[in-house]
Amino acid sequence: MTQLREKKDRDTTFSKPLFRSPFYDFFAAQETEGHWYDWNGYKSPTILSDEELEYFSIRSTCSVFDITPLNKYRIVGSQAEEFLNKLTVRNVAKQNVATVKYTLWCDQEGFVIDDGTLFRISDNDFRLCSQEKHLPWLIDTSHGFDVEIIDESKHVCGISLQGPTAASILRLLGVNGIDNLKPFHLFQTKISNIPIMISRTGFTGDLGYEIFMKNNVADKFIERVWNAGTNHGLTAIGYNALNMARIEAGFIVANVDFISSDHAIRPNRCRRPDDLGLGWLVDLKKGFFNGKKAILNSKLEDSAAFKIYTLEIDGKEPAEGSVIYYNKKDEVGTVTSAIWSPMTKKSIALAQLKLGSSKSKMENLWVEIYSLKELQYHKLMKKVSIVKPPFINLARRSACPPSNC
Amino acid sequence: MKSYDVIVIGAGHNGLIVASKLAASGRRVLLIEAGDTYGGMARSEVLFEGFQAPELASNAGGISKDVVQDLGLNKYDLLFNEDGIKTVGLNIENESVIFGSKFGKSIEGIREDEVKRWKELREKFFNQSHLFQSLASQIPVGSNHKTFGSKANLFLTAAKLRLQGKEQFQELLRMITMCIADLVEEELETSSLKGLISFDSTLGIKLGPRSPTSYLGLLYKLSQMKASYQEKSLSINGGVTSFINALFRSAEENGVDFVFKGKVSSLIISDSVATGVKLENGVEYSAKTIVSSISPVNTFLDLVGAHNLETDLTRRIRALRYSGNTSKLNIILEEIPKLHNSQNLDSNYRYVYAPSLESVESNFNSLKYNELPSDPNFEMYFSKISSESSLNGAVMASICIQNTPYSLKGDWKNSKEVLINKVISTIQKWAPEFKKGILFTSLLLPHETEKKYCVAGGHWHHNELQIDSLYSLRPTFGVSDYSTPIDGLFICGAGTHPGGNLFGLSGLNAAKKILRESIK
Repeated sequence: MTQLREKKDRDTTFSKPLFRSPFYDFFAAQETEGHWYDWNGYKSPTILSDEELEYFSIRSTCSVFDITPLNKYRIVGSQAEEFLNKLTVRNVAKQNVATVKYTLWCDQEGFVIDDGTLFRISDNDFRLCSQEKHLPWLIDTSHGFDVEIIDESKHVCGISLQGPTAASILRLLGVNGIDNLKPFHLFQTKISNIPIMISRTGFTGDLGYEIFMKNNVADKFIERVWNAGTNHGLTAIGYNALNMARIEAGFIVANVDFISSDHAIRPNRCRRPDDLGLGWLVDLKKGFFNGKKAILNSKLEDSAAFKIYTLEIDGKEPAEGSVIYYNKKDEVGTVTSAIWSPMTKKSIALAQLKLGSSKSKMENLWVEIYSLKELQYHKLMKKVSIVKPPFINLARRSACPPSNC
Repeated sequence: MKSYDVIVIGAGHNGLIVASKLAASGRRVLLIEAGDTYGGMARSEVLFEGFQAPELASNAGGISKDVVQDLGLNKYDLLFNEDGIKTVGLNIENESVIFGSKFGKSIEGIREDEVKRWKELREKFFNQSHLFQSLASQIPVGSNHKTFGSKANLFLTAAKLRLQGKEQFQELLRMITMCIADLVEEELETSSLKGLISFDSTLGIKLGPRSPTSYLGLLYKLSQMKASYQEKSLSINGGVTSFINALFRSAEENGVDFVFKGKVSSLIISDSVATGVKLENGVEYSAKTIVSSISPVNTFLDLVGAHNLETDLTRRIRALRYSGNTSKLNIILEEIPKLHNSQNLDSNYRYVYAPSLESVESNFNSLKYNELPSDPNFEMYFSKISSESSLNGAVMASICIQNTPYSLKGDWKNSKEVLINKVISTIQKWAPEFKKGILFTSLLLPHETEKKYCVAGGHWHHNELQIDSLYSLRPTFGVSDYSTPIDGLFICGAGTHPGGNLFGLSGLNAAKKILRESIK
């Protein structure tokens, strides 16, 4: 019996057998020209039908994306809050029940291990979602606290509904309270007797929701959602479309835009929250937490470290992987993520640059783009300007109640 | 809340040394001890009919000369005898090997040609032990401690070893991580001699003679010997008790305040700065400097608490190997028992039962699998009970049983009796009258030591003295220079460099560090 189940859950067409999410059959059915990849051990779509149409469903109708491969840790116990205050840089005591916060955790050098979202389900019950696996770190950090860490990654599945019509689809499904759900809030409810946890969160900078449930109700749930979305342009999407949206929103991804200190082999690749532009998350006034001393000390140093910047680039060429120069001559960093943004109609990028404190350097930055055109590279030197994130700011993202469309 | 300049936790020998030395510098020092008297694992306990003796520590041979001189302990009736203690490697089939003092400078009971080989090997051991000897009295160079002096010392130590010649230096590099079994088998033939060396290399640490790096155990022991009065062929009259009493008197005279029966439940820490201690009975004391002489495991996990420490550090502390592996059997006998060759067992001898290398290794195998050794190895000292006691004429046998598991597979209930009987029946082979004269027997197992002496795991050395926990890795990197990530908190117990037995240099080094760094 176990063997049979193994076969069904895993995909053997890959050299390494991959897990299939409970939503796999649904997404596979939407595939017309599919590309798949290995996300955290799951067979996940990069593209299902058409990358651009998938992207535009996020911005103009509604997209459905499988977030099951995320690591999901349940943190329960009378000292769950104290534990999370040691683990993460934000002050969890200030996080109200039924809210979600974006957060970071660091090692003893104050280097970022990973970022993630923390759901406060009740006073002593949390869910932490992250890109990388962290069970040993969480368990070792929990020593001395009355808290239980449960890896529910394989038992809980989730989808993300992102786009202007997301709220309308949920209304059609009879989700009461969707009108009052503010960004970064959550509640538990039922859709046709299927228990779900729904939060107004996402990775797109758009109106959107993330919905978690037990694996065994996944089939029933996705069928209801799909039917409800028929007249609202609901489109199943793969990672590429989501990636475009998240770059526009200015969100960073561990091991893409920065190297997790867990993974870094070269010591100078590790980054502190300030370097990621996320220093505002760190609450130095709260009690002890992992990395506090090092973060405090680093503030005293004259930092010449690489920092993440959001960039606009002249022209239309996306600058992925390109090198950035000061004065067209001195190398100052690398682009980590870049697209031509359909919303801003500009070439935008996230990059790690080592600029020090000199303001003048920021005015004279150039990116060298190698653009392949019919078997010949055109070497372009384009002007770069540092802008404040996010690249887009949509009113519907935070409108409450969300409009009915 | 009463306030002091310094609070020292734990009145073991290292705690007493730190307290005395800091008090001598003019600081107001409070020494807090959980037990009802001073001495820590070397303290005297009432064993039988009002007779008091150290229950655990039986050997004062390793006490550092530097400690005695630095604190001027000679003032406190610390007298020295000619060190005549010889070691007898008990052997039933053949003649017993008898080691003269200084780890077999003279040797009896082996063939002539073997004597020659032994002397050469012994000299090599002693030359190499310089490595530890010169590092022992230094604060380890580490991430927090990089003074010129300590780096220079590290360099000089290496230079001195190198100056012994290229061949000697290569030999050191070859031998340093080897197992003692390979080294003695390379050179020696006598089974009981190999057994004796194997036993001395591994006593108190969780290694067998065939475990890689077990040679370091011997180097450590020899370097300690060289740093102690054994170097001058002297031993402390009255042993452990005299030393501990002298330390206490020194501390008292320097003005240290004492609190006994005061178990510290936690440190008062705000924003990673230690400001005081809280006792189990609710009493609090404050001080700018707090020195913990208890085990690093207890210090960091119980007193400081994981919520005040980086996960990286608590990980390393929890990964320390600190379960004890040696038990202590105390037997009081009516009179000194006779050997079968009608000689007396003698208080000038240390008797070791480790008939062969294989025997020591198989003992260790049992330990690995949390079982009792079938034929336990042990060392035994005799001491006459003074005539003032009602037990006039009686004698106490202090027996350290090697390779006793901390957590036994199964139940200790009956096994305790089994272990005692095994040891006694081994002794009976040499002293047939031994059992008849027994007045009192008590066995203290590692888990009992843990409870009674408040030391995690009940380990002699607080944590294993092995290659991965020596010098700047002792107890673990980042806290090897006696300071901790908690400002104002220092550690000075056996779990710090150089640690080990009744040595005292951990306390002395820590005191020097504190004098250098902390504000009065």
